[in-house]
Amino acid sequence: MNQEQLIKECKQGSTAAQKCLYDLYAGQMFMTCRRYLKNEADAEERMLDGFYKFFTRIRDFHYQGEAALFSWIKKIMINECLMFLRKKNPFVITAETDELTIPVPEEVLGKLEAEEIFKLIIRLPLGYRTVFNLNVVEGMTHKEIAALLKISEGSSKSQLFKAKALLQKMIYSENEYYESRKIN
Amino acid sequence: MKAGKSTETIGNRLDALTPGPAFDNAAAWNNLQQRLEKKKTRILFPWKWAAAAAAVLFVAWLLIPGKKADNITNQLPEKPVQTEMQSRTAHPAAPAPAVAISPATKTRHNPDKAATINKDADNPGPIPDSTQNALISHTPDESMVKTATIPPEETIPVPVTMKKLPVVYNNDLARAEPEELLPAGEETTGTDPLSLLRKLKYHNSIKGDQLQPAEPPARRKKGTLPFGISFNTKE
Repeated sequence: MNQEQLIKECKQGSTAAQKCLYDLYAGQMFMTCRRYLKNEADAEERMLDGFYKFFTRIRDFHYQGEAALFSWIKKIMINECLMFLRKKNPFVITAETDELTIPVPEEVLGKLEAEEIFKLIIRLPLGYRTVFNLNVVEGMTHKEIAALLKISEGSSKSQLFKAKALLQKMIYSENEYYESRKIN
Repeated sequence: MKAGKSTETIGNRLDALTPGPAFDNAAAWNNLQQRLEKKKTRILFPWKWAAAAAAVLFVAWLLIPGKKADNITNQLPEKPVQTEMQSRTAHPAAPAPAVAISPATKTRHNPDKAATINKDADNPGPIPDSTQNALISHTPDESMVKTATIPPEETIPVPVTMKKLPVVYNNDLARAEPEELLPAGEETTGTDPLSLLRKLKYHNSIKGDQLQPAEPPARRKKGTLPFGISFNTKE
């Protein structure tokens, strides 16, 4: 059964179609939530909240392809995570530097395995992690991030700078394996 | 969304990650399904109640208008009572309406009844319906309605209205000439000293202008004692 058919059946309230869609995206969405939240239980809860919203508002969704469906669900998940973070501890981030020099080159991250990047990301502090995820992983601009987190653009840039600096430190100091990869 | 080459790759690679064994997919699905079921029941529940309430209200609406119409027909004979009252004012001799006086009001004159009432109070029976009494008191007596015919206008005696005498406030009487006020038969003219004196007395006593002293009394000078001894303070 293709996804369009699944969406149609979900709109009619079919539990089987809901289960199919859930199985398709649950793992990916859990990992997406996990990138934003350190706690696994919180991540799972937010993922369930996201799917609940998705299934209850599926009538408003018009199927335009698999990519559109995936990005819509992912957007719901990210919003859920950000809302949770905002409730728990609002982003009070001040701009400390407007330096745009990023010490960590993208190539270093490119050479790393996905799982290694994931492990590094979840070790970052909350503000750094959130901005890094939104900018580097989701590809949002600083303007978009600033609007989403209700912070200034300078703050977003500063957070990204610090996140990358910390990542570099972690990569170079903690594991020689990463260093050897970088040299090669 | 800005999507560079490296960004895309990092994002895609991270999205492709699968959760470890810590993530229990089946349990999570059960949890989600429970929530969705709750949502469904939450939607159905108010609809059921709303439908039931609407049905009850409809039945009530069907039944109540019939009762209301009966009430209106019962209240219609109130008009003749009003005409009867008008006619009674015109004819004071017309019999007074039969006022239903409860036995409790007659207890002063009927101590026996009062005793029975007290006995009744000791053994309370079923409480009478007050609405019934109200209905009885409002229903007009047919015999009274018959007698309450309005007579033609000619026969209605016009009540004698009290003529209100005008009150004249004439303050000029006090200033009038004494000759006018003197009793008749007394000659004011002539040289009778008695009459002249009386005239003068009357004139002096009544005339307001002469009641006022001609000049204010002389003020006592400073430094002058009232009993005759005088001395200058400065000199």
